[in-house]
Amino acid sequence: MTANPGLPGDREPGTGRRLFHLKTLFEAATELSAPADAGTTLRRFLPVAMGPLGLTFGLGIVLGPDRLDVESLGLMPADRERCQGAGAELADRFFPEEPQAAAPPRPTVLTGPHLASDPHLPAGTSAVVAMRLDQDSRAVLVLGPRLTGESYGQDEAELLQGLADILSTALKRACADERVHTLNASLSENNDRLRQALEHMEQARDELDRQAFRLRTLFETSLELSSLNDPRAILDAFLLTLMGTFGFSRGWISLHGPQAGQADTAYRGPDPGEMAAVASPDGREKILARFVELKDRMPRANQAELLDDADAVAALPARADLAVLFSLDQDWHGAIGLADPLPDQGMDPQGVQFLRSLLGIFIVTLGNAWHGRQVSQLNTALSARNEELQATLDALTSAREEVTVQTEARERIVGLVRGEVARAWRASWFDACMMILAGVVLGALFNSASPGGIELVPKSLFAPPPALIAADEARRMAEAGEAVIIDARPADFHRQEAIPGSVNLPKELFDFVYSMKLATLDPETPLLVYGRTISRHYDADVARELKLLGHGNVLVIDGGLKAWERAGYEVIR
Amino acid sequence: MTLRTALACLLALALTLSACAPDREDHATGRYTAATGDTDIVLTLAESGRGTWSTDTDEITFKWSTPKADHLWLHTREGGVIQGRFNDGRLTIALPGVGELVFERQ
Repeated sequence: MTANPGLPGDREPGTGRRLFHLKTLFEAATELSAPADAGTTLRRFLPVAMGPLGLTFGLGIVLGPDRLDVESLGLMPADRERCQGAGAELADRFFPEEPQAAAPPRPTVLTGPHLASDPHLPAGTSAVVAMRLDQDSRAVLVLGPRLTGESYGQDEAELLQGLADILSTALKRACADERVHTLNASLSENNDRLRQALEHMEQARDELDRQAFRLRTLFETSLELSSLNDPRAILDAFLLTLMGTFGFSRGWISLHGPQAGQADTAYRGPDPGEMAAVASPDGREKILARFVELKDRMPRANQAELLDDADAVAALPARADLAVLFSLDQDWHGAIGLADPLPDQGMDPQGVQFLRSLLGIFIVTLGNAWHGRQVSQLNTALSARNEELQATLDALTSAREEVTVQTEARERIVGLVRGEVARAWRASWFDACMMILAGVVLGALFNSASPGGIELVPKSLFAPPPALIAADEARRMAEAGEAVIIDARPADFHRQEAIPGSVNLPKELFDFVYSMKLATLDPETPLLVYGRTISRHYDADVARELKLLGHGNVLVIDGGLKAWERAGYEVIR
Repeated sequence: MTLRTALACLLALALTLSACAPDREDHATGRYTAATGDTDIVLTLAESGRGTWSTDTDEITFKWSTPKADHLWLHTREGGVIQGRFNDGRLTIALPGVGELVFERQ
């Protein structure tokens, strides 16, 4: 193999040939000026180069790390396949080891008769052009024999070198274009991936924000509910949290006990009637009916279940677009209803999971508060019973002390009585006289202080005996109107029986009755007085009083009412 | 029984008697009048528990008490008791042998 960069030989600087060669170069440059890939460039180049040089075939190979372009013109199919199969090996033969960083040299053109018999080249090869396109790509141009059978002259060699330069430039540009295209495609692909990554990142950030919001809501809800002890306050606070978190403008929560009327309710909305409907016994029945409908899905103690049946939600006692049933224990059941959602407030699966988490916190907190209230009520009842027991114990203690005191007093009294009884036998005459004297003094004091006291010494004992008149004479004088009969006994005796026409003048009421009945009587009119018992001489006392008032003719009927009756005179009863 | 015990009993009895003394009712005090036949009666109840029963010819003094809110007792000098009763602003006194006297408050 001989390298002929200058193609020495005869020099006939014919102007026409040179012009033809220049036109060939111009046409080749023009033909390859349009952008095209390496294969297209080879296909365009081969007829442009083979014609002016009078070649019988042409073969072009472009070899890269991940490419192998083979184009031929006028080559037999078997030779083409063989060259295509040995493309890489063929190219390596014409490219010695060179530093990759070095700049690609000009194409190397090999000519000579030895090429025609090279077993690695097609038979009759007249020239081989080796081109380094860039650090990784190479190209080999194999040219067949000339039609004239002549070797290349200097002009043809220069033409061939020029064509090789043009082809090298075009292939470099094609490779560069392809690389740029590849880079653009890769860049676009990377841009698409980056955009997708950004979108994913945006979605992930939004999701992260939502998760952070939900976690914060869970934390704040837990903190707020755990600070409340009143179940009704917990219902109200949780309802407000649900409405604010999930964007509902109306909502209610009701908790019902085993008996009708045991209900705690929270409501937020414009219709107070819904709250009354939820808290009513009918509302309790409707809610409990939804529990029965759930059957196997019925929430057990400390569980909640979303109602996904539109008919079941519509059958609740108040309006709801989202409804939940929950249970605190076997006896206390409740429901939550949320209605009138704000726009763009859909409930995705993660939102449902978030709602379940909130419900878990709510049920646990409500259960704790509920049990706390029951414990408080039990403590209150226990305190009341303790107070009652304490009062009973105090009463028993007091009674015991009283019994003890009474027992001691009884023993003391018994002792005193026994002592006094025993002492009575030893009482002295002085003691007896003192007792009698004290009794007399006390009696005299009481008699003198009492308005109804008696005369200790009746005056009648010392007064002269009154003048007497017989019953028949008294009757005669009374019937003749000459005298007035006076009954001196007390009024009760007078009402039982009395002499007809007699004036009842008891001594105790003497002044009053006298002033009313006898004050205007003539003092000389005879007054006939009767009435006495074994112990009291009323007639004598009254007669004496009448005499003291100036009546000069006062007589006592001898024998009194008994003598009057014995005489057979009339007595009124 | 010692003398000290006897004195203690006397003191207790005196205190009991004083505690049993009748209360004076302010609403009963005043001046009342009644007329029966040709006799006009003026009844005066003083706050001191004493009173007078006055007619044209006599004036009788007595003590009075109200054992109940609407009852009046006139304790006579001789130890008798005349019972009266307040009713609708009037005082009705039943005097044996005379009948019921209705007094109007003055």
